[in-house]
Amino acid sequence: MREAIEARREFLKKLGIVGAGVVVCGSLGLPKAQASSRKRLKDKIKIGHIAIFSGPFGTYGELQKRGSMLAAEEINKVGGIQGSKVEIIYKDSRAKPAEAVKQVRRLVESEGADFIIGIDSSGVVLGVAQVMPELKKLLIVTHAATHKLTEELVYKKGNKYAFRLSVPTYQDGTMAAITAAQLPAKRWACVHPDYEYGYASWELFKATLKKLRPDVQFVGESWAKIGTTDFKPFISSILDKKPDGIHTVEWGVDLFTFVRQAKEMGLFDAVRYKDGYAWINPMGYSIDAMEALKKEYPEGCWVSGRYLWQYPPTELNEKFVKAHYRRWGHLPAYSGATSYTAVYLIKHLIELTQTLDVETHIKTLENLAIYSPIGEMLIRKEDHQAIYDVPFGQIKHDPKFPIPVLKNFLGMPAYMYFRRPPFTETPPYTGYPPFMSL
Amino acid sequence: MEAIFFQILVGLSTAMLYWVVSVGLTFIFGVTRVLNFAHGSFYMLGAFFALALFKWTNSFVLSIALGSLAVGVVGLLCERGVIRFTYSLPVAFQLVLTFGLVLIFEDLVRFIWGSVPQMIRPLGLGVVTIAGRRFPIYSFVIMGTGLFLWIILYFLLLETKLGLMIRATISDIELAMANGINPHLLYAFSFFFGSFLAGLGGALTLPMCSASLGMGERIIIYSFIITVMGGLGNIKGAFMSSLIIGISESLCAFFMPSLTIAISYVILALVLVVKPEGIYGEA
Repeated sequence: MREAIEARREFLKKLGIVGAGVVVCGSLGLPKAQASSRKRLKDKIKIGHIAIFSGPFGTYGELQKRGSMLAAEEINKVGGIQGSKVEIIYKDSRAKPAEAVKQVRRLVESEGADFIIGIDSSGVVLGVAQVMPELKKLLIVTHAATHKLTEELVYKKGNKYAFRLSVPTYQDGTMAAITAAQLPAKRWACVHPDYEYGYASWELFKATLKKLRPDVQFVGESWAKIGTTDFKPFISSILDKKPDGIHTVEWGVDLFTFVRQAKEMGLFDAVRYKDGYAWINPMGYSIDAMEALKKEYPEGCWVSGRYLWQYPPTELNEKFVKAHYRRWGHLPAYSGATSYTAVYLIKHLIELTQTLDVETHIKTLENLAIYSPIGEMLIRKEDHQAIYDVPFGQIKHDPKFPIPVLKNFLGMPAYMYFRRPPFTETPPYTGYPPFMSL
Repeated sequence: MEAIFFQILVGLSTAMLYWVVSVGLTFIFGVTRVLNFAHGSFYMLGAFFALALFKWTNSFVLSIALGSLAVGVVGLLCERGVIRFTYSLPVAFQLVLTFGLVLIFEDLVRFIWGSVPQMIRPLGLGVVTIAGRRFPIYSFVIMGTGLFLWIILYFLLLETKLGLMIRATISDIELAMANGINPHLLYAFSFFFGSFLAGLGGALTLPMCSASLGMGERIIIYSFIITVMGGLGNIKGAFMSSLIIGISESLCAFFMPSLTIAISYVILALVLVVKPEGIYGEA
């Protein structure tokens, strides 16, 4: 416990160091910005928002759009950014790197976008980030999780133009393993989507779990391509390895299919323990999955997201969740929350620096502390990754809510489980801190 | 050993679904020589039609039957409405046109049903225990449908006058026309029937997964692999290659999990190297 508190103190100390650099991203009903006295920088501040708006994962663009559009509406209602209206231009990446790069170029070169936000998939983000230095605009990533973006492109190769407000695969691999270590399961297997994100998550998961629990074994792996309609071959080959714990980062429409078929074929029953299921799904608490599966998602599975609407229990978060529900009739998804924060971050960035100069923006963002609906975040200077923690919780069906909720939150400070530059050591750091019960 | 048997069984049910969809594509190509990109869209439409009908009628059998028939009608309308004008044009025109249909249907579905994938409740048919494992009974329904389709097609093509006309058109259209066969009737029929099969495939997946945008994109790749591998337009070839792809994917998931994604392409490449015209040759 002491170490955990230390870590938090460390984080708050960092907040102190940056001093003026603490910004509040979200609507707290503050008086109209003092901005009115300041000069307008531009007629319109244009933000290009790139996400997947078509195909099997088209929902993900919608989920993001709800967040960024809500933020823009709120900001414009109270006078915009120093009198400039915020305009968000949405573009479809179609989950293809080449298409997204084309859209980014078009946004910046012919539509006059000042900032780029969004991006849903790991493959796409690596492509887009590489053209940002040439276009000289900021990219604020709100969903894609590959740690290669921040560890390799930003930290090792010095690409200064990309920042990420969403948690990276540390949540999917490292924090997932920390949660797994608390469970009795000893024979872990995985069913993952067959691309960068799946492999990265599984590698981190194995490394951390092995460190925490030398007694566990990794007995099987399954790699299903994106858009698999029949998971039976994968489920039955995993069942044959007799696992008692499952790690899966399936998401979106594949997750619905997988959960349904896994239930039918008895994969959940295979990983049952007395307090639930040794079923770790870091992307499991995605709003679309909860809305589609509802009661079909078995109670007692351990899931998380890049943000959970139930956490943190702050006024700022409560206001955001309510505003989002009023506006859209849905609870916010994690990518919605990060997109919302990104738009507010851009507002504060401009107000803080009084310029649209990208170099100044980069310097300001580095080591900036943010207070947002998602919680306290620190944008780390070395790798441009926003550091904040998201707990895991167990699925519970509660008739009071339209979708399943989470109980038994289990978390630790992000500071302890986000990999630190130079990214060689396996987290968690400084031994093994006890868990904070949330 | 039991595990391998189970993998084969599981692969068989995947294979039968591939077969139902890809034979539709094969059939259309065999008769009209059109490579129909929109076949995947018809598959998606089948799922969404059945979904809507299920909410309305609450009968799964009825919604599958009516849903896939409705897709057949959509296919027929596409053929009569636009595709028939491209028969005499170079193949590139047909590809562009059918690809255009893909985009139109994608947006139509988004407009009507939204972009959130939708599911129906599971049918609750339950499972049987085979080789110590649970196997969904619904998978037997899919296998049964596939086999039934195989029998029906054999009967249709070999025993009926319509089948004779179809075979005549496939083998030599000019000679067939000289003998008084009206090819336009057959073209229209083949689009109706082929699209019906795509719709049937889509509707059949509903209890297993969800109706979602872009589900057609995934199946169309498999359908093309299977159609090309078996021999363009060759129905027997489509059956064999469905079995090969379905079962080898399942076995690959067991023996070499990280290669599963590539296995169908590897097999296709191998077949094309050895027999460029496909397993049974072009019809």
